[in-house]
Amino acid sequence: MAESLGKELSAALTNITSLIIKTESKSERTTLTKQQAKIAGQLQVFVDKVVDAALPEYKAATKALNAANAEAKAAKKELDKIAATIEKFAAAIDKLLALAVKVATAQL
Amino acid sequence: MNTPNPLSARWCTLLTLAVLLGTLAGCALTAQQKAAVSQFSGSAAMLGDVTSSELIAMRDDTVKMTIERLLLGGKSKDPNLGDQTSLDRGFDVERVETVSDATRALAAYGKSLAALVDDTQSTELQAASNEFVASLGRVPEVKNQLSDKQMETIGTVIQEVGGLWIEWKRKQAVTTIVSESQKAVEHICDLLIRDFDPDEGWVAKQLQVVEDPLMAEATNRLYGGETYNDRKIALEAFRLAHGSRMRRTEVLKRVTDSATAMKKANGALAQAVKNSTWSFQDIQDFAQKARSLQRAVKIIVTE
Repeated sequence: MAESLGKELSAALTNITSLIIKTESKSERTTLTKQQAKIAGQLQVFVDKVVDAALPEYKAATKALNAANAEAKAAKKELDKIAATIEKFAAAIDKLLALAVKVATAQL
Repeated sequence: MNTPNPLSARWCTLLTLAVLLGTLAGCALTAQQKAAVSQFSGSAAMLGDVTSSELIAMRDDTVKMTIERLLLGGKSKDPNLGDQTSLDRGFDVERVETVSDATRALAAYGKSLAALVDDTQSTELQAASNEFVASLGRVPEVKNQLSDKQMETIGTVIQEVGGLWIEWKRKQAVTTIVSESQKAVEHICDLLIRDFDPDEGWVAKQLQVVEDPLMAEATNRLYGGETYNDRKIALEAFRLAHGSRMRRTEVLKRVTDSATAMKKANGALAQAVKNSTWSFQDIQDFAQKARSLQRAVKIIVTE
């Protein structure tokens, strides 16, 4: 029902606009332009109602997908961590080595 | 009796670990699965980015067309239409932001998947294992007991074990994320298919509400225009309305086609990462539709 109202208003707007473009008489065009504005105004009200109902749907779907995106970013960080862990082991060995040298020097 | 060498024992442990993880090699994404994810993610990013920028362009056009209509015809002839206090009527910030948040989330989804399958870890892993082996070589006890060849093998094992571990984690992550986001992606695609439909959707109707009254005022000015400048002003308004109409007919259709293809490709992708029996066709079809959308937008913007 609501969908067909939108379709009819849109079709009426298309038709009256075509008529305005073809009409040579200034007074007729003035009358048609006023009628066209009314139809366009009604179509605007129709669109407003449809959009008011649609926006919460977008918000909910976006929230759900953003949660998955955050999970993907966290997973990527996990993958990148493996090389960093090996590097940390290398750094730890170097530190232990330096400590061993210090201890050996102190004992002399 | 031979005393077990602790270094040789560690060496054996590493090898055992490598063999164990080697059995996990089958749990990594195949090259074909990676290609499917890459192609899908690139197309998703393209659809999301192009649609977001088109929504902003529609808002800009709305402001320009409303200004032009008010310049040509004076005060709005209906109180529900945009006027001097609501130049962006129909594509106000909240509407554009809410819908483009969703399309940007689609783009971000594509980019996240691409980042997950792109192998940026191999080089880092190689550098890290080289560093590890170099550090190990600086320990005198190790240096005395292991040959250069053995040290090199340790480095290779670390790289391979790390690589297999990464590939296993990569597959787990991609499979989880694709299946967990499947419903949300499909929902956003459904919303785009419904709302961007050039015949039935509200986006097309909203553009028409702004375009058609401008066409009427421009026509009135053209008929009454006696000078070159009068007609030039009228034709400038027609050009604006024409640009918007191109978006309404060409871009909206391609967004709808791409979203339809993405929904199908998303199902194929979920199958692709779960098992090896799947069709690449849906993902290729989506890629082709996303490219068509991008090309149409380029043509309209160039005009």
